[in-house]
Amino acid sequence: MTARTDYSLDHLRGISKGYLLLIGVLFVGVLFTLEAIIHQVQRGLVMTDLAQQGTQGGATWGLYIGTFEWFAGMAVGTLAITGYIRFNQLDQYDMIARIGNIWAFICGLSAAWLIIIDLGTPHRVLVILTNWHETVLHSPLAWDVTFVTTLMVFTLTMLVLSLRLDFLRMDNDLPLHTSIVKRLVSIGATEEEIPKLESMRQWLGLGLIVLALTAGLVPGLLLGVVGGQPGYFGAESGIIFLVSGMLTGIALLSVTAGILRMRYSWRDKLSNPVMRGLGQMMAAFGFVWLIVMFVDVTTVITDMAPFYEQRIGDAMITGSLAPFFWASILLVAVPTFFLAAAKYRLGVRLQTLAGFSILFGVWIKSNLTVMEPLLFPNLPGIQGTYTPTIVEWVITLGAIAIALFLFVVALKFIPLATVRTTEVSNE
Amino acid sequence: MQSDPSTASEFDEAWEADAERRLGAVDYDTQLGKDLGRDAQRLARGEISEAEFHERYHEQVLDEFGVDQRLETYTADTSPAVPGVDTSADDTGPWDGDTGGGGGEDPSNLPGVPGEDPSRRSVLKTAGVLGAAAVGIAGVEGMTTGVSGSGDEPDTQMGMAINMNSCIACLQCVEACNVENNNTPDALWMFVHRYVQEDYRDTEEYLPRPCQHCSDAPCEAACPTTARFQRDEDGIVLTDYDSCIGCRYCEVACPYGVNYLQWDEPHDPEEFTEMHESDGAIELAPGDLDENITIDEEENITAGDLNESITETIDDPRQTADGTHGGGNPPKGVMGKCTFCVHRQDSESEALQGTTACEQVCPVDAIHFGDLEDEESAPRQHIADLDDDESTYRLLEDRGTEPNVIYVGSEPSPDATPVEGPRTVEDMHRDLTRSRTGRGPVDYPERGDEDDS
Amino acid sequence: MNLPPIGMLVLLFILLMPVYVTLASWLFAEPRDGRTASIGIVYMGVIAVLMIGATAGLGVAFWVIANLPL
Repeated sequence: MTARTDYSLDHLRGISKGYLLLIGVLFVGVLFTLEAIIHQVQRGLVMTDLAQQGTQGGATWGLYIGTFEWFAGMAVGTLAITGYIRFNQLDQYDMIARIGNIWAFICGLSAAWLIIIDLGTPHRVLVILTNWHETVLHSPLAWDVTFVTTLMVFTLTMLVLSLRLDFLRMDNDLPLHTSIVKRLVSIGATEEEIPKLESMRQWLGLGLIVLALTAGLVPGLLLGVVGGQPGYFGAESGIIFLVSGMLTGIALLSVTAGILRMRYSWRDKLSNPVMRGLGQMMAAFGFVWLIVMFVDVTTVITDMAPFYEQRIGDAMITGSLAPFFWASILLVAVPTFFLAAAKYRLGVRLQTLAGFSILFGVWIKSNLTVMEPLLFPNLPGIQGTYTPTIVEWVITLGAIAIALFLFVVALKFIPLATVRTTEVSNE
Repeated sequence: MQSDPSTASEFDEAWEADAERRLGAVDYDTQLGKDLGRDAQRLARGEISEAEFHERYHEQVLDEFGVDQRLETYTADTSPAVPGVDTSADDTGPWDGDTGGGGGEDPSNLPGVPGEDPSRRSVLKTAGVLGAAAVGIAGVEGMTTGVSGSGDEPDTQMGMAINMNSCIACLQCVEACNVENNNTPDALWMFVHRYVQEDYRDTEEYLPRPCQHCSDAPCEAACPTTARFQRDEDGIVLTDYDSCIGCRYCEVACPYGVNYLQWDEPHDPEEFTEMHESDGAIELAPGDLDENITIDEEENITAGDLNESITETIDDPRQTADGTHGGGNPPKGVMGKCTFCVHRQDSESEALQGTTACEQVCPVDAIHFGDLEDEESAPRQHIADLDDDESTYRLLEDRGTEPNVIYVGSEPSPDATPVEGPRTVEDMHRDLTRSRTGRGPVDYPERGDEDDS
Repeated sequence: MNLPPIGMLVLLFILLMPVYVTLASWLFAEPRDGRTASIGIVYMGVIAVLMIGATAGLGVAFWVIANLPL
């Protein structure tokens, strides 16, 4: 049984100028996004630069789906980490688990949101659910909807159960808004539940790991099972997605933890070993990601590769897509190298910067992965071009702003600091 | 029909005539074929034993084909292809009598079907020749499963035969399709690919590309709402405009690129009729209609005429026979593609049924639309009437989509270079720009340019 | 001989795997406590319903936006 020690809930109380400014900026971003959404929904997808491949010389899917893959990846990554920490009861990483839990839900939500905004008739989104029993038998998009729904249900359940447990152990005074959260998750809660709740949280952690590592392949398969497009390599795309997801998930947590530690001086809660552990994982998955990218490219650049694939490979390595491709590789490779070279002791600032760099690099590649094949038609048509419109940029960046907004708001409602045993963190 | 127990009525004169007609087209013994086919069905029903069936015809089959491996091949699930054994049609002559003898060692020594590998498919086709006509195939297939009955294939499968050798890329089909279906110019349900094949000929080739109405359509499997479906009655692949969510997964899944989202507001049907009336198109009395829509190149039907008559007969082109909204142009945000002019197929007018707009306007008769299961249909007849040196293919057949458009000509290779040219009739009169906001002119690669950029 | 549709396998053996793991362990792992486990399951069920309901609500919201007289 863990000891009841100090609960620093300082992040829940008080509203600083900086916080207000951040909320304000994000809120303006959200308003802009709302405007763009109204614009697009009223006029139709003609407001985007998406077009039919081959004959209209466009890309069928663009920023929305690329960013969807990125968000879904982060959801899987943060989900896996949360599950891992909970299942193995790594109390040292308790706060990381909570942060990961919140992010996993928000990222799942953002991913779902981007899919919906990409629809030609978003008001018919319910049709996916009403036909689900039939379409799940063959449509990877129906599997994906199932996965994202499961992800959101599981992360929210984890949040509820772990908060219930934390609140049972807390006797602090809570701010009013947090006590509302407490009331919501503590229906019928008694002290006797604690051992069972601990067990349930642990096993739900295993559930999250299983969800991340099996169903987590599905958003990648969304592309991989499409035989029609060269470049969506079926055997690899699920793995690429999962690896990208793990990498971005860790990077997102590292960045969040770094900023929170700097902001609230949480040297004890987000201790050096914890930060270093994150840096180590980030470097390890960065390395795996680079290998996977190398394998991916190898498939398309050999002279033996089918012509369709070669064309894409050439475009990526030396052609029109090369600036994007190499930018994404460098944005991941450089921080990975420095993290490893410094034995993960880059310091919080630099590690946060490394995290940002990796997030950006993988975001570029996620978009490329979606667009590469769509720009090159199978039949002798026009090679595509795609220049996202302002509406697309606003909605895409807006989705990121909404995600940040939700997290920053959640920060005021949900306690991050939980039970800490006294014997940890003396490195 | 196999379930009918009365043999007398089943093998009546009509059956005889049908079998004779079918077998007449083949160079093998008609009488033998008829007898085989009839007994194959009896066998399937268990009226005679396999041994009996084998005994009865062994001599004759050996005589006629030089080989008799009915037992071996029909009971085996697949017939292994033997490399190096040429079974193409030009070589059916030298069948060695000594490989026969009731059970030759080489199972591939069956009379081949032109252009096919000696796979299971050709075995069945050969069985079709042996067993006389479709009824025979059913009977022979019944032998392997022990039950008789027809397969899952629909009785009717609408499709096209498109002769690339005739096509002159006049784009009348593209125009007629857009007019008929009331589409905006950027929706190219019918599209004519122009390209140069990088080989010794170096000639420009034209590939008219409607939806292939695949029997194993990837778009249908991909659809997350069951909006994309293949009709049972005639195999046409349609979109239910009321349940399509516009996710464009079908577009991504389709290797042919036939799907076009209605990005913007579609043309309104009424607006369209008015537009054409003000064009001064010929006014039609209702009675005139049928004469006007005859398939006759001499009459020089234009797209405008077509639509005029269509709007006269069909109130709601979007409404299909079963009440689904799947014909005509799609509403905003919904996926559209070639429907094989489903509003015509479902119309009351017999002159419209079995026709499509593109087929009708084609001045060189390159497009032939009809039931691919029916030997008398336009596409089947066109294929049958081809010269020996003309080859046929189905587009990107290796993707396993089972397309239902048969092309006459040679398939474009993956490195075929697209060449500049108008893509719509409108384009013929102005520069090449896509009718989408903010889009620059289309950049075509130079002839023989290997670079991607 | 014939495999069931691929989606059936994906659903039963991949997508629902975490659900099996979680529910089984909640019900059968030590310490056994039916009450707490049931509360957990009820929470999960309510959240699932909320998620699906929210999707429907989003559809309605989009319908309203699409038809706003702007």
